[in-house]
Amino acid sequence: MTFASLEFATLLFFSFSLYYFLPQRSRMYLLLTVSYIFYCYWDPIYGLLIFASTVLDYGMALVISISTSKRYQQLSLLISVIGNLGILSYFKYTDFALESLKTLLGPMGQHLPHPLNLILPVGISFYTFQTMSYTIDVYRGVKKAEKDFILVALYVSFFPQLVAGPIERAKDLMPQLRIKQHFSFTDLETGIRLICWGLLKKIVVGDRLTCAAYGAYLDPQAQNTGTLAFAAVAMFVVVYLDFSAYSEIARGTASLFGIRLSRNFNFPHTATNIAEYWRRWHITLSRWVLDYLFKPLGGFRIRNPLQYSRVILLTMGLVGLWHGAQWTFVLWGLLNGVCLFSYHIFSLHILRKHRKAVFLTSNPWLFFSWVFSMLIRILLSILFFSPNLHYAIIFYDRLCIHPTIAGFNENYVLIGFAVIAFFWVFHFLHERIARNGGITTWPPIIRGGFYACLSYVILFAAMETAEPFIYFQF
Amino acid sequence: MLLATCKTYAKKLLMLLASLRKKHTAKAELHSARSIIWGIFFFLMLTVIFGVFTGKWEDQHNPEKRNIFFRRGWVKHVLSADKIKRPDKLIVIISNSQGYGRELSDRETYPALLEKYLILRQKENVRVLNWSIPGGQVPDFTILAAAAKRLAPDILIFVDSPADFSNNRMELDPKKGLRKNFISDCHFLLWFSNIRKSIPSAFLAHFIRPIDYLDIFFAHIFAPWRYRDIFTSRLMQIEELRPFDKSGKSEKWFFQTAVPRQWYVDHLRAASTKAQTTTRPINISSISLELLSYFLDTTQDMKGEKYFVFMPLHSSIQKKNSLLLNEFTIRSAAKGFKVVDLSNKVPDNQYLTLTHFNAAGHATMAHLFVDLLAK
Repeated sequence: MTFASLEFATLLFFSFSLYYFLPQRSRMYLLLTVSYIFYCYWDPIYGLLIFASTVLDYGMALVISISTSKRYQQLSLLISVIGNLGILSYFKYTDFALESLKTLLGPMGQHLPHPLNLILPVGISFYTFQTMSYTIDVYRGVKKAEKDFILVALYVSFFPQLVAGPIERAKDLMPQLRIKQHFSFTDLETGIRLICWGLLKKIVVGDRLTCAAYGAYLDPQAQNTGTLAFAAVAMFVVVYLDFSAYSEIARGTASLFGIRLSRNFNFPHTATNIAEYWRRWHITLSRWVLDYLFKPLGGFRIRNPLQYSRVILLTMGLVGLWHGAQWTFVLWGLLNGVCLFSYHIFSLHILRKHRKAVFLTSNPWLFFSWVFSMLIRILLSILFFSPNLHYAIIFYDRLCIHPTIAGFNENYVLIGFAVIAFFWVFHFLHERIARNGGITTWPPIIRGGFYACLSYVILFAAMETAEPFIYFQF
Repeated sequence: MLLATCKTYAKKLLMLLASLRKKHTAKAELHSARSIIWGIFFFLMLTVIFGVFTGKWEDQHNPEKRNIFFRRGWVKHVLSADKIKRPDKLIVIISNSQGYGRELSDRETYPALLEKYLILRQKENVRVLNWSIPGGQVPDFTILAAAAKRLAPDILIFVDSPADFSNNRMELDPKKGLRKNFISDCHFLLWFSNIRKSIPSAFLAHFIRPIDYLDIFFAHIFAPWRYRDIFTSRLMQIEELRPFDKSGKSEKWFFQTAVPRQWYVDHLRAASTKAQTTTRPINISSISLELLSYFLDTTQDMKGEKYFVFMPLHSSIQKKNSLLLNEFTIRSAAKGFKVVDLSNKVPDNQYLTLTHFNAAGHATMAHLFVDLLAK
């Protein structure tokens, strides 16, 4: 079930209508039932996986809390991590590993088993990380083990953020699910606003840009430079629109039930360097990786540049692999790691030494940094969308190595670039407005009119068939 | 027990309202409540305004022309045919984009030309209704056939390719919406019981999900829902907004269904053994005779002549399968259809694309029909 569907709207309407009339325990049962209906709508078998993951982490967290021996605690944690990563690896990486091995071994690889053509359960990467963080937090003593199985099950499967995040921590979400939430008009308004905003981004703007641009990725050889440039920039914008839309609808839906989810995006397109970009983009994943991977590997304490580069490349390589079982994603992650490391060195040796220099805080410098980092990210995003490395190489070749001026005067390219330019201007303005309190500072009558117009725009300008969210595949 | 439940709920509602009154002391809460009330008010106001304009707008439907709203507005278009004064001969043509002829003006399409030629030749008051849906599918046509039955036309002409009866085109994954069962909004016609009862229950069970009835209900009570895609349907006709369409062979329009991402197609392909991508060539063996029987059963009690016409195609894509054609002919004939194979009757130089005619092609087609009806 996707957010932009009548099925979801019906499910949400009925669950919201019932929710505030029920006692707290029944509310939890209601949300859990709705979450499983929401998830099993894709395939009922998927429900078993998420249930297995929940049982595993519930059990291991209890064992960790009961056990006094460090060894047993470590063993329980290991079982949980291996179990979760095992499920994830089996479904996500088995075919990738088999295919890669076959390619690597050449004729010798003929005896290897054929790829299993496994179907990747929707959102498995998200809930696996979420449930793992619970056990790790219990092991670290950040969170007490929860005895209430329903609460743990609801934490793992809470439907607004189940399939594409935000990846919530148990210490933030569980207390909210446990206590009785009172109906609030502020929450209701926030929910409506975020849902409408998300739908506008996704099915009005994002999906249209996708259908104008994505075709170029499937056949880069046949496209001219203008089309490829437009496709690269458009899909770079689309991935933000698509994913941030999902996060906003998720936050809006949770808000209807009085639950506040973490912000996943903080205007990433206003970032003037790549480090800032990763602090503003997919914030919950960045924090997860920082807390459970980067810091345990040494993190910012490492002084040796070579060692630091190794850690950052490993972290970002794994981030890339988390995004998809393809070499394009791994390369995308590694190149992001290279950029982050380069920025780290640049920041350490130039920016910090000359931090009082007027030039480095001037608008021209900030603009230059913005353009430069944006260009790098756009070029890297080509890897993100290319079906395989071969297509990506053709794309880079036709766009950067053998460019022509052909295609830049095509109507749809010009219209497309105008839409993207408008998006960027709007993005900056929106950030300013949000910084000053946003729409909540407007008078109620204006707000009401804005919501009504927004719903009509969505109704009339939405795509006939909504595309699935990009991050569902991860 | 029911009374007790109602009492409990009423009590809880009162408690909720009481708690709201207390909460109103907070300024933000009060402002939010007002915003929502204003929002509902403006939404209703827009709905009323839209409703008023819709009335005039819907009058643009001219039953004697093709549907100007493309794939949308089929309820009004079909119902507007009731307004026509009964002619001596009423002909309904149900077809796909070939009959719609979006590259040409309405007057140049073969249904309009057929009407013109028949009036000239037979001096009769003839009306030809063009019920062609661009990209139309058999489920859409089945519902249109049921709607045509209401009008009791003298002649019903169904022009399509047997390849359109392929299950692959219908059932890639209706649940996920990659390929819809209904490309148009024809299913909104199922609101009307006299249309619904003409359709085999097996068809309804197969193609109409419970959620679709909700969709149909909304469409009936709420005009903006019914016309939600209408602007984009009109914009789809703008040539400049069609990237990757240089050769005219593939139609991936700016304002139409998105190109499914490769991973999504792969996912669906793996998810269902039945699933096949829409880009694969149509496999003759996948032709569903069940789909054919749904269509034929819908029209079985219809009086008047019925024609099942195999649509003309460019010679490069014609696929002859005599076994299949025989099967179609036998089954259609059993239900009172006259089967006519026009698949190679239009010369290749009268095509704009592999399936769409130029003006000369439409004229040829109209002449073929005149000859056919004269027999």
